[in-house]
Amino acid sequence: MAPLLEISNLSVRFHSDKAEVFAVNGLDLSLDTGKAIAIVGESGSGKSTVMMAVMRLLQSNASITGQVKLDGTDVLQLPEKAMRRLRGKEMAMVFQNAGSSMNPTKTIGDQMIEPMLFHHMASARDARQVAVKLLHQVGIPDPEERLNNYPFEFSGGQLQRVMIAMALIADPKLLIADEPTTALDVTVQAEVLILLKKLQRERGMGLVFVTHDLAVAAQVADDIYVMYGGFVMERIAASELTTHLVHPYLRGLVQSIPKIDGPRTELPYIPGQPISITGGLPDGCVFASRCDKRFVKCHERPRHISISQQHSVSCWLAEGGVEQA
Amino acid sequence: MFMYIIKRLFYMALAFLLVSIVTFGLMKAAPGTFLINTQMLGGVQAATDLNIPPQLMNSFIKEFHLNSPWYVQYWFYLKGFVTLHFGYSIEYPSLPTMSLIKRTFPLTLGLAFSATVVGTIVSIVLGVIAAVKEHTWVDSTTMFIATLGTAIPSYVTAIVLMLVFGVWWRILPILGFQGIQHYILPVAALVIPVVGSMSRYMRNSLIESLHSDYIVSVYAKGGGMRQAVFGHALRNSLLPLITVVGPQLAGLLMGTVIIENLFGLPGMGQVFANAAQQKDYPLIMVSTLLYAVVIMVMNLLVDLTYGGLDPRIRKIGYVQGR
Ligand SMILES: Nc1ncnc2c1ncn2[C@@H]1O[C@H](COP(=O)(O)OP(=O)(O)O)[C@@H](O)[C@H]1O
Ligand SMILES: [Mg+2]
Repeated sequence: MAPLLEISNLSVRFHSDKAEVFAVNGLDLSLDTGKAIAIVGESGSGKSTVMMAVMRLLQSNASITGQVKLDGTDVLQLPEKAMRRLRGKEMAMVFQNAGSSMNPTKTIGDQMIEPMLFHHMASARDARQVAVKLLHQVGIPDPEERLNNYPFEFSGGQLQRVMIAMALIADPKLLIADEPTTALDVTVQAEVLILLKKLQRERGMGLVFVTHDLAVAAQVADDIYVMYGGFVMERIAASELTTHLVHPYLRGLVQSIPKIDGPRTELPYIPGQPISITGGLPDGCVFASRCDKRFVKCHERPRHISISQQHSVSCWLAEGGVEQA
Repeated sequence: MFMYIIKRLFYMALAFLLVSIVTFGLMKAAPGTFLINTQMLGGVQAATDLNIPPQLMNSFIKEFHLNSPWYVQYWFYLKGFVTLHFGYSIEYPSLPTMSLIKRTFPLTLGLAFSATVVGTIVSIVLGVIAAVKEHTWVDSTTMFIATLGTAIPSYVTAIVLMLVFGVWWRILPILGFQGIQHYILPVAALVIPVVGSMSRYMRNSLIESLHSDYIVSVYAKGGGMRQAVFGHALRNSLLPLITVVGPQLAGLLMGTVIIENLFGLPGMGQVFANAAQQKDYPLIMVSTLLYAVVIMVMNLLVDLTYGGLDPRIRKIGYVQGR
């Protein structure tokens, strides 16, 4: 069976007055129906850009190359009209900041039913029935009355639940969640994560979960893609994360996760600044400038090589075998 | 919403009191005013200064309680205005000021009101067109014409309009008032400068709304430009526009004074201008307050519209993060 989402060799560049931004540089990714993947990386590593390219919602200063296949159709080749038929229906998106991603002057009911109205799936009245059910499912009390409330009448966590319900209303096959819990308190964060995971399982959706938090990624996803400087550094199964990881960048990320049961030592962090991708890229590995395992080879850009079926990495250390790491 | 309206009305009453005190104070302080009256000679002195017949002066002394302290005078001034007992003026001693206002005020009000409505609608339409076609020739042409409208003073616009439509093409009347068609050119002359700045404001406001996060959400749900503009952005971009409509209205109302004179319209504007020229203080006092009341009522309407458009204002009375 073909994957639900298959991205090959995706590159995105932003053109601005001053310089070109190399936001995404030849990214491969694949997601099967009913599975969840996570894209992890520091801020600015290109995570949102990839997702916005999939939705074809990037600003006009972006140029995109490569392939983004949804159910075998390359969405990058679709005319805007056909694209609109996919957005909100085949693939839906939950954004990071629920507060600003909802219109402050419209009731959440009116906003929630829009995907069904835009796609002529139901009358407004029927759509509201669906919305009530969904609000109940995502754990909003008194959904009937709440439908007539405005975004400012909800807490951040509740509003994020509303956004999730809104994304699910047209029953999409693919749900993209771009840092859906980053703006929330830790306890609320956990609740929303559990909810998202539960809904994904129940509905058998494909889920792309974008986060900068590796621990969260490991909880939610089957597969983890680690991004840096617009490249995938390593793709690894969540279950193998701590045992089989290869890339020094990923090692750095894993070590900086606080351990609840461990001794209270100062957390190691990856020294240096994230690479600047404005103006151009270095010839060699983009992580080399911050890498403690750097050697001569790193002046050349490493290929993305497969180690096993679900495990691939862009690092010269992997070329000679995993054990070197 | 109820509390919001009560609050607005309260502020309006407060503003009215303030304007009336300031008007009264200024009138008392103005040179040669009849209100400077000491029991002995003020009234007589002022009367000779202003060429007022002694018996009229005496009736003023009675009407304006000039023999009492200032706060009593002020109280009767206020009471007279609120109960619509406007008394008589110096310029028109045989005509009650009330009937003078009745005869002239509706025309001015109609002029200001239609100019406001037309101006707002035209500004919104032009602003939307320019914003939707952002950075195209449609956008730049619309905005260039709008700027021309603002750059040229309204009396010049008025004369150009009279020349083109009244003298060359002879399709519209340019003088006097005998029917609705006499409104067209004066309204146009009032509206054109206002539209210039307001349509630009509308354009920028709508463009800003269209770049908000919640518009990305609309597209992510499968919406298009139409849904984004008319379903979401337009309403929100009206909010900042409405806040500038208020001050524009005051300017517009003052504009009617000039425009009425130019087009020979028998409105309040002419009465007011004459009163100011002739130092007809009783009439100035009444008409100033009347203009103030009109501006306040229009601002109240603006505020109510605002509350109607923004649920945050309606429900909690303010917007967070502004
Ligand atoms: N419209 C744009 N124009 C120019 N640069 C952009 C634009 N959008 C994003 N970028 C740049 O692309 C890079 C990747 O951004 P983004 O995908 O938002 O990262 P992430 O989501 O991982 O934090 C950043 O350096 C950002 O500044
Ligand atoms: Mg992001």
